[in-house]
Amino acid sequence: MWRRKRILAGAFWALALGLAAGMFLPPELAQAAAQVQITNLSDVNFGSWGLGDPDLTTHLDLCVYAGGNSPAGGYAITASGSGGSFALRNGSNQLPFSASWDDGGAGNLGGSSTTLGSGGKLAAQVNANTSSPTCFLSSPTARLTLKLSATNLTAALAGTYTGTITLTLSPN
Amino acid sequence: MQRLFHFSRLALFILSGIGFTLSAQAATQGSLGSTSQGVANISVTKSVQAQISDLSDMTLANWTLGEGAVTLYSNVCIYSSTGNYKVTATGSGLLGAFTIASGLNSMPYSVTWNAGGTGNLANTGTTLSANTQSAGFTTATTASATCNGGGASNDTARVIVGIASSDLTSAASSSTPYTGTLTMLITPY
Repeated sequence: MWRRKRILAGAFWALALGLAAGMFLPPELAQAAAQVQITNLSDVNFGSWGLGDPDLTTHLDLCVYAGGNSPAGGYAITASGSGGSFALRNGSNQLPFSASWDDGGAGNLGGSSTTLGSGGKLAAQVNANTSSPTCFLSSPTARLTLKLSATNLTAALAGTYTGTITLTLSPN
Repeated sequence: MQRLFHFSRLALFILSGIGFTLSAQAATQGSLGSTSQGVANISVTKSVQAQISDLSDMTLANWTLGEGAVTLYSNVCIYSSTGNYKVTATGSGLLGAFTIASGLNSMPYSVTWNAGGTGNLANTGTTLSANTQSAGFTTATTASATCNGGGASNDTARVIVGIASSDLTSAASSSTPYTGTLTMLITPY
């Protein structure tokens, strides 16, 4: 009997404290903290390019998850190239590339995209997955497109050029 | 049964070793947090290539005694993805000799290569030997495969054909012109 009363009292105080937190704490603290995750990245090897070949373009379909208090699957993405610019390098020689972002959402990629600038934050992106941090392993929600132009490739000295692109995901 | 168990473990070890090798250069996936960061590696290989373009035929309408030596030339665009190249010129004469012919009659000519580079072409340069690769030149364009459309102000080299007055004098007269071809092979290095 005493044990039952103690359990009920504990439940009461837990409920009271929870309500108090909801009433007096700012909403952003009272709710669950925003959580984001970007996955499904893979390396890109464009292979070999020779004179007369066309532009080299490829894309990565990525899983962008935005949970917690990030509203309605919204997020911001920042892309940065190694060395502070979107350029591959071979020693001191550089080969510029361009990148764009499509936030079309699951099953709707390949439409319009927004050009990314190295280090620039692209805010107010939408359609992130809000229920599965891995997009159920099969439903990417955003597309990163990378392009090396034939003009830049023609002008580049022969050799193997390498670099990285870093994507930083944050809540809106 | 015991042996089978050991074999299975060995197989797993080998597979995990392969997996480690493949993942050594793999992209970095983001982790769940207040921000998340992923990294993809990008690579491309630009081939070592060269291209010669903007050549034109070299023609002398007629030559009569007393007109002296003849010099003909063509400006050419040499593109090399290294900026460097060597040239091998081959004539249409016997064993690639630099000769032009009218029937059974032939006439020798010389070939000179001017690698002055854009905006700096002249009728002087390196004398080429037939079928023999030249020394290296470093003035090919790396910016445009066609030297931005070519032309005298954009091309990067000049091939000069010379016919000595003595050879013209001694050549048999002919109602059909002396003709031949000059093939230039560009090798980047």
